[in-house]
Amino acid sequence: MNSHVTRRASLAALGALAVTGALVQAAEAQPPVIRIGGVGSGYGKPFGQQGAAVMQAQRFVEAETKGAVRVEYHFFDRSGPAVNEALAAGQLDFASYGELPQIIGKANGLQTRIIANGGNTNIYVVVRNGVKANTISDLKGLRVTLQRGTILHQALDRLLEEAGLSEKDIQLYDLPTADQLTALANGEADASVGTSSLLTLRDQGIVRIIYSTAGKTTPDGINVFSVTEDFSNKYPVATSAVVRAIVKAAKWTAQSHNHDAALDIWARSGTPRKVLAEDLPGPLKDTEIPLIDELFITSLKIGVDFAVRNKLIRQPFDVDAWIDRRYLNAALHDLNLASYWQPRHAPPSLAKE
Amino acid sequence: MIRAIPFVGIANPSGLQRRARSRSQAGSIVWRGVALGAIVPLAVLATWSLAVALHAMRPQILPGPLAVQAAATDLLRSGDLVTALEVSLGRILIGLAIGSVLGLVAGAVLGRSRTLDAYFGPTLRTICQIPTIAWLPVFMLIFGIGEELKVAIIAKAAFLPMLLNTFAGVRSASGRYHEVASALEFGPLQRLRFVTIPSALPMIVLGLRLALSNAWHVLIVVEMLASPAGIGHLMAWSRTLFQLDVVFVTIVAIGATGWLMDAAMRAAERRLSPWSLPA
Amino acid sequence: MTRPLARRRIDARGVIVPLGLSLGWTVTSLTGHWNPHLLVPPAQLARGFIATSHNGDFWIAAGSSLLRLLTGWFAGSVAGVALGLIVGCFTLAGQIVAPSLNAVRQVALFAWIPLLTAWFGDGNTAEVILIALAAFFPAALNTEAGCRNAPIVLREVGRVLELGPRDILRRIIVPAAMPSIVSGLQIALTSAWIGTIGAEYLIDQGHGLGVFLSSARMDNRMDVVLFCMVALACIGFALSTALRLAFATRTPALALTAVDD
Repeated sequence: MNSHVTRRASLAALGALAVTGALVQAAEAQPPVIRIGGVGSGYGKPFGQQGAAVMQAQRFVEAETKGAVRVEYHFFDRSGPAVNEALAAGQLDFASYGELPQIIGKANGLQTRIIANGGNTNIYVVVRNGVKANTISDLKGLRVTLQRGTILHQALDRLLEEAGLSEKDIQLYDLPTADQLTALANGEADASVGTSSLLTLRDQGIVRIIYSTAGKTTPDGINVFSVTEDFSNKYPVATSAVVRAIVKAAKWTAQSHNHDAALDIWARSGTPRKVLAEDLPGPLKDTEIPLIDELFITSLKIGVDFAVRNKLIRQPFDVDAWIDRRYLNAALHDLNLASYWQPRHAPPSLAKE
Repeated sequence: MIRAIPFVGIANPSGLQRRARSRSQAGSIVWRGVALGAIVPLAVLATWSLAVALHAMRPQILPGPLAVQAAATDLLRSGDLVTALEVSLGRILIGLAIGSVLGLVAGAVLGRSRTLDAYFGPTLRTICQIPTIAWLPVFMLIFGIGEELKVAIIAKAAFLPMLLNTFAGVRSASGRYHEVASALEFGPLQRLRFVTIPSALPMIVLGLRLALSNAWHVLIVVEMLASPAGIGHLMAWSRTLFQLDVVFVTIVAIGATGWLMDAAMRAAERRLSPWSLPA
Repeated sequence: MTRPLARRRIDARGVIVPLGLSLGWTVTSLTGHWNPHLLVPPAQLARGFIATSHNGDFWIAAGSSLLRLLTGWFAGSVAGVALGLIVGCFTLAGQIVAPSLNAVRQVALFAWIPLLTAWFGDGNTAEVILIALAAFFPAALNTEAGCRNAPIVLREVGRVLELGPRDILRRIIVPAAMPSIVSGLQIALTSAWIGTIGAEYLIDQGHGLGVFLSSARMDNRMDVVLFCMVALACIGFALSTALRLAFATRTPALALTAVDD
């Protein structure tokens, strides 16, 4: 008798669930495809760096959408402009790339929303061997190469300000990475600000590192994960799925026993594994943080400020209105990771507004 | 359908004017030419405006004609465009001068001397095969990243067409003319002045025109890649700043400047070698 | 030309200059004074060459570039020859189309890249379109010149024989224009090759020799860069030889009639 009731009850429950599920499905159509853009390494390979690469390798998004939606990844080598264009052309739905290009895109009318922190890129300041310079203040009067309009430019600006200098005190050469390497090797430039790609030159005995953000709590080198307003308006459920995947990927990376596997994933992009191992000795829990914390927001505001001052954008805009925390908060809550990462505060010297 | 009329074509769009029999005929031919030539640009403008009105693409990647025009006005007023063009043209002039003179001399020497051609010809021809952009890393190591690099690359781009065309021009001086020169007992200098140079001149002038065109194309690439100034850099930088309306303006500026320079060269070609057919 | 057609004896004197340069290179690099980064010591250069030629990535890159080249060149040439025939035969078409095309032709090829990547994404499509654009103008220019040069006498013959327009085109104009068209296709191939490498280098996505070159520079491997340059020369040479053999015509002594770079 009891089993009868139980069976009927469970059947009814199943039926209700099925109907609800169908209703939910009908309420939001699944997107035909989810397209995610990320930062590549410059080698033209279809693999990349940071959280997006981990999501791709571990298929976290597919898991969250139960395989119902096709997921495509596109990793850009000369990030910035290319990603902005892809977003504007409707070729991408999500993108994780440097905050400065994102700011430029947003200021020029690109309709995106920030949904998570894209992780930090380590920034290195190197000086050619044979040049007398050991600190940032020693850069005065030297020929420095970097790519303008990137987070590297922003970082240098802040570091110079901290040392009491400004861009006028150095000779700045705007060159792409490959040409910077040539210029340094050739003695045409004295110093450079860049990412781990400079470590190769150090290994070849051409430069030495005088400053690096590795291991520091710094507002430099921030990447931002964002979604197009179009996509998040049309597919809020799919958006939450992706954000949950972002958080899951960060959690996976944060675990020390996954450290080697993470390096392997990122090495697929073409960056030598040795360089990655040195650039990211870990713990990755401290660098691949998806939180939208105070440090992140301060960095964004510094970025907007920097962009206006350097005439990269015409008008400042409201950073707080650009951020959409709902998805991240929901994901952290659902996955029980609300206190897994420590929110970072901005160092007092930076605390503005 | 097919009449024997003056050449009107892609390389010489104004050819009709020469056959006009009277000034008024010339005038009406010009107007007709302008009207017909305007059909395609007007059609493009119409399609463009329609696409913008229909929001075929986001305004960030397909700015409308008005946005482009506003950007153009801004750039002209701020003087940025003119400054950039000045830098680029300055580089072209110097690089072209160096490269074309070297090419002229080399082409003349190799053209006249079969022996030297046998030694140096194959090497030069193989170097031709390597696209200029592949030379950039090597040139950077030799010349650095400053102005010398740009001038050197432009000189290289100008050198090859001048070399090849001078070579062909000198070689083409028909054997018959040289026989006549021998019969008239011309000295080497007279031979040069009355036979070699006049017969080679059309090819040389064409070579110069090609050298200029080459140099202009190469300059743009180099400025896009490695330069703090110039019109190519302005274009690449506007792309970084996600201002495609400015990119449009720079493309038009590049095209217009290229066209003006080519028109000047065509006029020079007509003056210097009136006995040659238009190319 | 006074030299007979058949004489194709290989002139060994052409090897002397490259040999001399190699010798100079070896000597200078061994003393280690002048620019050690460019003048890679021969031993290291040789090792780099051998290693790269065994590198599968290189051959994949070469293959991709060639595929891209052929696709773009074919598309651009077909469009160019078609347009060249129209402009060459019909004056009215010439008057309408020529000024615009002449203007577009002035825009440096690689200046189109920002727009192409904005509209077609950062990949293969934009590259192939650029290559087609590079091939288009030489093909069109030379085809048009060829049509123009079809002797008037022949056309008169056509009219006397009361041939229809399609026959005139097929039997008279095209054969007469053929040498120019072929020459145009050859120049188009060279332009397309330059466009291929340039597009790959500047757009930097996927497989290709331009990408390979770019990566070698990222690694600061001058030996690989030099290997790429040698490879590019060889491929360029092979392409023009192949085309020349395919059409079995003698290329006029290196004279150019259109933009080649």
